[in-house]
Amino acid sequence: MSTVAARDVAVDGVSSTNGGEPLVRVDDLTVDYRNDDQWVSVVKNVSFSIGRGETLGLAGESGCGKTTTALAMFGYNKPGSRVAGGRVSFDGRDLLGLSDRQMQPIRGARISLVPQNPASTLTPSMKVGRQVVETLEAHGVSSGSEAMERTVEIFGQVGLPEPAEIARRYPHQLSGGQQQRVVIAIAIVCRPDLIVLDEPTTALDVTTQARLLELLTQIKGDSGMSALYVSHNLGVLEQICDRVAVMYAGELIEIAPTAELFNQPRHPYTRGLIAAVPRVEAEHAGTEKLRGLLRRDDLPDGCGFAPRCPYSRPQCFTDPQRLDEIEPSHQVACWRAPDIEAEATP
Amino acid sequence: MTPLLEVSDIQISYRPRRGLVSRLVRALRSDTTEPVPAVRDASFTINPGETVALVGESGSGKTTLARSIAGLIQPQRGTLRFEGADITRPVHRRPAELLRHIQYVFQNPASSLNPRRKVRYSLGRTLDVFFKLSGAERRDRMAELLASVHLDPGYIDRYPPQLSGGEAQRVAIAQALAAEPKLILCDEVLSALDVSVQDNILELLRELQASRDVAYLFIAHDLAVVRWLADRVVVLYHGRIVEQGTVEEIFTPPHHPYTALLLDSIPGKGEHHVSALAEDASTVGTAPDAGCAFEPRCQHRIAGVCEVDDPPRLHDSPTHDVLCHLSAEQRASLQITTAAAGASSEET
Repeated sequence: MSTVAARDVAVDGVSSTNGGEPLVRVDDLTVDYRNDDQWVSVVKNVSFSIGRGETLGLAGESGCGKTTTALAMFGYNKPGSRVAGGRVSFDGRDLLGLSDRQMQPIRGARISLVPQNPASTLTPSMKVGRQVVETLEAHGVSSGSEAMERTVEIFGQVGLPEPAEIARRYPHQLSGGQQQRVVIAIAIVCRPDLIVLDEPTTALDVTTQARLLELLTQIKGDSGMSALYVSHNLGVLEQICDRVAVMYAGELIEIAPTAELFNQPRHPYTRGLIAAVPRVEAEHAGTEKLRGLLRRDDLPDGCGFAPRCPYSRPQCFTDPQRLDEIEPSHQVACWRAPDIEAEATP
Repeated sequence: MTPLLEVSDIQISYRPRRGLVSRLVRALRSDTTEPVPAVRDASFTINPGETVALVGESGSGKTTLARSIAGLIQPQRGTLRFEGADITRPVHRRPAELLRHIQYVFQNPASSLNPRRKVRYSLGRTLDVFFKLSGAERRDRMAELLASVHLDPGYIDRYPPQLSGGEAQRVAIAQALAAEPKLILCDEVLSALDVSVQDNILELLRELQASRDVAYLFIAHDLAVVRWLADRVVVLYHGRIVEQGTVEEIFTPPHHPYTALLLDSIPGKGEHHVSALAEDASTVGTAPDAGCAFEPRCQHRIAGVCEVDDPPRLHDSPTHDVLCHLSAEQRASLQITTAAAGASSEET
């Protein structure tokens, strides 16, 4: 796929086919967590948008704030946290201003979630078919035998063998891959506009992961729904996303169309994350490897990645970096990005 | 050279539950089926200082096999030899010296370390069990162990919940090293970690092997992570070893069709061309009773053969075994065709 084609798909999150306002627009989102008596920002001034029909990947290591950012799509956050600033607008409405009651018809029907661990999402004492029916009834889509028919149909669509039989089973009678397919079925059964996937394949075998990625690509193609896909593995995002945003220590540090991000990663951290993807073809160069770990308690005033960066200069530790457009639709938060290109390819 | 570990014809089945309710349920369902062996006819060796990767999907019997090597499960059949001596007996009947030489690192470091005890306790316990150290000697040894896994001496007073996944896994590795083993069984030690941290742990394992000459049995479901660590690879499917060979042999076609599927499932290389045809474990039922266990998912199955007869063990080379009805030539022509088809579709 050429970068030109990728750019046609999405410029600043607006799908060229639909035009107009993107489905989701996140502006300067800041989320704090309480740590003893202090509030600590775990997501800082994050802005991005998701176009209609677009899949945006959100990448980063554990603790970088990617899940917190993704959960903001549901207008709520974990206990002990607060939204300190910013806006999350969905189809023109500000989600952060809505009460739980006002969110109710949106959650599950217009925005749905596929979490990491399917086993803990499904109710263990309820047959899986009933759990899909419940979702349909709660949102008033259908009920009774009609809902059951729809359930069997959706189980078939997500590739479950003998859907009618599976619907009568309890979660523990299914494999991890089958459970995750059930969770995906619940997530898409009301035909939402946006599906948020939080590391949905991390607990699964690579073979199951490969098939689920195919399934998600197919669902996307058939339904035109938008998706936000969170993962620590850029290799997974490469396969399914139109654009990828990379987070580090609560900040967005690079965002670009997928092909461009992989062909021309500009931020040193992105380069390291790409090098970390386990690959069969060739062993990656040692210089690009990520050193050390993300230490939230030891962040400099400047660029959060500076302590681990092979290209850092003294200014990096003192001067905060902001996202700058270096090419249309490619933004990076690193003042040294142009030099790094030259240094990395001698 | 005597292998460090020799696994011969191991067969392990999990006994059906013996409780009254379980027996009643089986009787009512007139279920008289014998349990399917979790591992059957498994034979392979590990040489001193070598890394052997054991690869397969969940449920393939990898962990069962590793647990039998550690003496946590007793095989019904077959023998285990360590440095030539028969060790096919449960862990409580193994001599202390043997326990010291075979160490286990688990998948989830958070659950293998005692959350209420400091790192000091976890490391010290291993030292106390196997070596009678005290005072400064014991302290120095602990600091040295932490240093060998690249953790500051300060970590000695931390509790496991205060550690990140990667740090906790380093402590678990240090704990295994404390015994000065000859073999470490690494059971999916990377799968709970971020890819960037996985990379660091792989590097660490390689470094420790170079300096200590320890052998690893490295269990993984992802072939990509073993590519740059293993010397040899054993591929397990439904309890059977379907392919084994040197790492080059495993990663160069012709493969066993299942190995080909595993290779093709590795994320981050664009379009999948083989798996589009092959089923994954969640979309097919249980393995058939007769013939090749992989047949229902195999895109190269030969009708009338694969579902009927058990596949032969073919020796592609003296170090390379494949359990398949297809000859090396047949597999080579099929896999080159699919690879070429994939390559041309990627160009478009």
